[in-house]
Amino acid sequence: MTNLLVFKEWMKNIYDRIEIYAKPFLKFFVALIIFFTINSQMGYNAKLTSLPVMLGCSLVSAFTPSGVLLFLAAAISVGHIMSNSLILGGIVVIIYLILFLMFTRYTPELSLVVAAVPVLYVLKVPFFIPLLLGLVSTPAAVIPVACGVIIYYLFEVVKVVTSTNPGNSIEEILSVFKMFVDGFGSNKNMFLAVAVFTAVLLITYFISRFPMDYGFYVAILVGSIVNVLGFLMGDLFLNLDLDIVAVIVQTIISAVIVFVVWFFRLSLDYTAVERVQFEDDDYYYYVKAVPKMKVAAPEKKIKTISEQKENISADED
Amino acid sequence: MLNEKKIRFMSKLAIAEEKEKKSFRITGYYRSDYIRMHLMQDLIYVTIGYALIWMMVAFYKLDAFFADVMSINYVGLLRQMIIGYIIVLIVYAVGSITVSAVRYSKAHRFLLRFRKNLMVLERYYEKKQDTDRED
Repeated sequence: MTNLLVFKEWMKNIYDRIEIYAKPFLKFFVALIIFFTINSQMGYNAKLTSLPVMLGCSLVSAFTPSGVLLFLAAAISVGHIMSNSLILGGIVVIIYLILFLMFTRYTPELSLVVAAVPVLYVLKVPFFIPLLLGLVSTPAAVIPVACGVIIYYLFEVVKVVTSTNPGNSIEEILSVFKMFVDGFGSNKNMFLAVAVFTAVLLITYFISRFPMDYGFYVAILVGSIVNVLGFLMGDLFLNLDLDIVAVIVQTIISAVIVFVVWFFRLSLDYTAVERVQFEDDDYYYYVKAVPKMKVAAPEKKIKTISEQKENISADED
Repeated sequence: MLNEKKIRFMSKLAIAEEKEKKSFRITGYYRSDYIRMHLMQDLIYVTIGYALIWMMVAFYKLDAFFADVMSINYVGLLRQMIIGYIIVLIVYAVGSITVSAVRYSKAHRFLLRFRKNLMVLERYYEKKQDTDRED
C-alpha cells in the first residue's frame, strides 16, 4: 500500500510540473481516440478518415472547450453517413438537433461524456462512465450518459440500414426512413441500457455521499452489482439474448478502472477517523473528519564524491 | 518586503474570480429577469425540438397519410399534438425555473462571500496605510 501511495505522489508531482502541457496533450489524445473510433466504425468517406483531417480536428479540440470536440465528432459522423445516404444523414442531423435542444444543452460541462459513451462501448468498457460519474458528478449526469447511449445505438442502426445500399427514389427514401425509425424506436437494448445506466449512476452517487467508512468503494461495488443485475433482469424479462458473461467481465474491468481512478483522485485513511462535537450560536455540530492518506515521495539526491580537477590542482600548488 | 499572508489571500481571491466568472455574469441580472430570460430561451428551444419530433412522425406516417387522407381524424391529431406540447412545456418550465433559481442563489451566495473577502483585503490596506503614516 505504501508503495502505491508513493507511486501516486510521484505521479502527482510529475503532473503538477507538466500540467500546462499535459492538459492539451491529454485532450488531443482523447479527441484522436474519439475521431479514430468514429472513422473505424463508419469510415464511408475517405477524405474524413485521412490522417491530416483527424490530426487537425484533434488539434483544434485540444485547445477549445469540450463542446467543440462534440460538435466536430457529430459533424464527422454526419459527413460519413451523408456520403453513403443523404436521407440517413439528414435524419441523424435531426436526431442530433433534438438531443441537443431538449437534453444535452443543459449540461454543457459534461458534453465530452456524450462522445465518450459510444467510444467506450466500442472499447468494451461502457460501464466505466456511469460508475465514475456517480462518484465525481451530480445526478444531472444521467442526461449526457443517456444521450451517449442513444447515439451509440443510433450508429448501430445506421450501420445496418446503410448495408442495404439505399437508393434515392421517394419510395426507397421512405422505406429507409421507416426501417431506421423501426430499428431505432423499438430497440429494447437501448432502452434497457439507458435505464440501467441511470440506475447505476444514481445509486453510486447516493451511496458515495452516504457518511460511512469506505463509502466510495462500497458505492463502486454496489453500482457494479446493480449493473449486472439490471442487465440480467432485462435479459430475462425482455428476451434480449444478451451475453451476460461479457456484461459481467466488462463490469469487473470497468469497476477496476474506476477503483484505480478513484485511488488516484482520493484515498482516505479510515483507521484515523476523528469525531468532534462543538456548538456555535445557531447549531450544534457533529463532525467526522477522515484524514487523506499521504506519504512524501522520496527525493533523489545526487551526491558528488569526486572533487573537481581544478580544486585538486589548486590544493597541490 | 513580501507579505505571504496577503499574497495567499489575493491569490485565493483571483482564483475564485477566475473560476466563478459565470457567477458574476448571473448576478448582473435581477433574480426575476434571470429566471424569465432562461425560461423564454428554454421554451423556444423545446418548441423547436418538439416540432422536429412531430416532423419525423409526419414523415414516418407519410404513406399512411396519403392512403387515408380523407378518413384521418384531424381534430383528434391536433388535440394530441397540443396536449403533448402543453405537457412538455410544463415539464420544461418547472425544470427551467427550478434550475435557474438554484443557479442564481448559488451565484449570489458566492458573490456575498467574495465581497466579504474583498472587505477584509480593504481593511488590511487601510491598516497598512495607517501604520505607514505613523512611521
